[in-house]
Amino acid sequence: MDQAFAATAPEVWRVKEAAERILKNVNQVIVGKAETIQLVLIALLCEGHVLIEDVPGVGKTLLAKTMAKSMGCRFKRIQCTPDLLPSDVTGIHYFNQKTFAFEFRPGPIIAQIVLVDEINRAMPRTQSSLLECMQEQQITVDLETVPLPRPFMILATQNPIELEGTFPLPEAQLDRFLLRARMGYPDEGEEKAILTRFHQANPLDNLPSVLEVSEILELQKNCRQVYVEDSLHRYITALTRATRSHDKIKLGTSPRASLGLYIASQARAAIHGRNYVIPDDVKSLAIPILAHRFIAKTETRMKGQSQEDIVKEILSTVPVPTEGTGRPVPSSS
Amino acid sequence: MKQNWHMALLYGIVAAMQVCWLGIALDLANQKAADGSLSLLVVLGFYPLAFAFNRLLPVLRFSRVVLPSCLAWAATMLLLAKIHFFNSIPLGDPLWLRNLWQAIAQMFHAFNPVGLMIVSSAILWGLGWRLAYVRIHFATLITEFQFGLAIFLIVFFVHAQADWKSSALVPAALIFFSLALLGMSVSLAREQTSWLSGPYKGLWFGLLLFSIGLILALGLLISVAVNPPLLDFILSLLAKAGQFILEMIQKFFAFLSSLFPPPQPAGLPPSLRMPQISRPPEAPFMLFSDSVREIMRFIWGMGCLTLILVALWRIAGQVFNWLRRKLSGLEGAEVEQLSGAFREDLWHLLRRIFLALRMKWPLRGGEKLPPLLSEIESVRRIYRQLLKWAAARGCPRHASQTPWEYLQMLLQWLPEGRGNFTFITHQYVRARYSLAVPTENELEQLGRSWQQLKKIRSQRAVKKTLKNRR
Repeated sequence: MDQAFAATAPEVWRVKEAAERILKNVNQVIVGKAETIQLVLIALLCEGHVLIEDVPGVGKTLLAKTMAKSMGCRFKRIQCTPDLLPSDVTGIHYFNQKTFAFEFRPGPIIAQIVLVDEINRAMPRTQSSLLECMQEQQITVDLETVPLPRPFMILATQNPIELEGTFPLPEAQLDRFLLRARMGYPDEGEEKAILTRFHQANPLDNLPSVLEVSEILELQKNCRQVYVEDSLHRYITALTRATRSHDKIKLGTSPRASLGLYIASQARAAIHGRNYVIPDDVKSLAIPILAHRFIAKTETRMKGQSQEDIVKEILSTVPVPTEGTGRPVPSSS
Repeated sequence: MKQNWHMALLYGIVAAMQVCWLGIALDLANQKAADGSLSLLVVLGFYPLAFAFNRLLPVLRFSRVVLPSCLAWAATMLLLAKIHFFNSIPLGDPLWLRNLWQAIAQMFHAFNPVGLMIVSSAILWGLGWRLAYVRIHFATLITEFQFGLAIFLIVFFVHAQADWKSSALVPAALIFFSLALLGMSVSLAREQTSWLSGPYKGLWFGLLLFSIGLILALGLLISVAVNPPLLDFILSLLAKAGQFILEMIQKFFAFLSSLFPPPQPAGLPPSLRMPQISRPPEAPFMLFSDSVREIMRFIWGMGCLTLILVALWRIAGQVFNWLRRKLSGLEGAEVEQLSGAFREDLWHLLRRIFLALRMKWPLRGGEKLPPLLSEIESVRRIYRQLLKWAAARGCPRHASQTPWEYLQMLLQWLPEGRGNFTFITHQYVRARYSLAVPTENELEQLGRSWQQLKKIRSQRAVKKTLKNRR
């Protein structure tokens, strides 16, 4: 193993311990959903952004708020509405009559964890104001560029069912989200636990933060040191390239998707206490990372096949780098 | 302690293998060049001497070993030449040195005993030197075997063609083969990659010794039974059979020709008498000069030789492929791919020569990734065997399954092997994706887990058979 590239065991154990701490803390508010919480944590460790997508009332906003509160970072919220303007997000220069000078009033985007609630209700021009900050972690207002604080993460939520009064996110915007997470309905036991937990007071009000900013930055650094074997590089690129030649896909994923899958796999490995990535890391993250980044063909959508189904199909055809060739899998199409 | 013992044994085996072919080759050269006047034992003494001297150099903390080693060889060679060829001349007299120099100069015109001694002592010193620094493992033994085999083939060819009798040739060849077999087994056992490290190692070791004994006995029996009169008799039988077939073919063609009527020759007109003209004798017409023809003949010869070599290579490749196909069907057997091994060996040799001459290797693309450590390769080999074994029994891995996903399938297939399957998969994943080197204990436990799995499965199969019979 390349020693300069390998995280040591104590470094990844620190990541694992921090992840467990967060999960325990978030579980004081959120019932179950360990997988979704883990995805948000992976995005945080990779300096990525998360799009939480599901039907109303399943706890998207609550999860985002709980995660933000657990991390002890500067938190802001943007409630997206059709009349929201880009300057409401980034901030404006206003004329201060007392000082007779233009002063910059920062918008809610200048924070460490930003909850962009119901992102698809904002107009496309307002959505576009997020592009720069998501990729370059800076904003430009009136020719002035302001760097955003680190760590910086956008937790956006959207409801995929309603179409009226919503504006679907463009591809460039979707591609900037490291991963898309889904909440899903709670099962019977979980729903009962929700009733018990929330019938008196909201546990979010008294939730402590369990992670310091400096600690998050160190954990992010540790994750980047996790070793990725050469054959797994090829496996990651094979998966993303498969989306570009798939007959059900109109537009495949970008190299940003490969990079996202790579660093997210490193973070997942570290969360599991490993200083090396295994194919399971890549496979388990392929759907959240790839599914929202490509455009399926119209006939595929008409047949009711989702993007997740297509990624599953790709995963079942691309060989995993391991010993032997294995038995070829018959194509499901 | 056990490892040291194994290593000492391997060094002894490699040395003995080299002495086998060296002794025979030297005997041949001694008979041809020196009429058997050179003492082989004395010349062979260079080998252990070189080994001991070169082992001693690092102990004495010599940073540069080439010069002292060459000087030591030269001194020993001079001493031996003095004792062996110029014993009557006193050591202080420079006459023996002059005579020796003359003998060396004549060596380039006709090979003489002095030349033989210098060349053979240099080769032996070089081999002893190499043995002192080489790290012996399975691959080394394979290389030694290949090289020794090639030398033996040459010696056998010379033996058949030239008038040279050596009673030690067949026993030396048999001992060489036995040592090679033993050496490979010991090296595999040392690397814990063979059945010699498994739970039935006593049984297998006994079988190995029995096989060696059997090979020796059969070889000796053949060498005793197959004598020149017997060979002559077999050859005469074959010649008679060939002659009979040829006669039959001739008779058949004669019968065919008798079916057609003989042509009636038409009467030729009487020839006219031509006037006799005397012409001067002409030189034969030659399109190319002698030198060009020589070159073309050489090119033609080289072309033919290349074609024969390519044909032999292809045939050998086909034979190996056939053997591989046959062997791969055997129980628990794993056949390693050897494609490109010959080419790699050749390239490696040429690269070493270029490096020694301080020249840049002209070909690109020959760079390879560093080879895997033997411990990692052992883990991967066991996992490969597990995959093959499970696939043969109805639980194959899908190409898109990760090792952990496949583990779930294996656990459903054979729940009794839960612990062993999990341990092997865990070790494999660690070795494969992190390149972490497993410890000796882990490797031992891995071997035990693999053996236990096979045992569990066979017990289960026996129980199932008994249940069906009832």
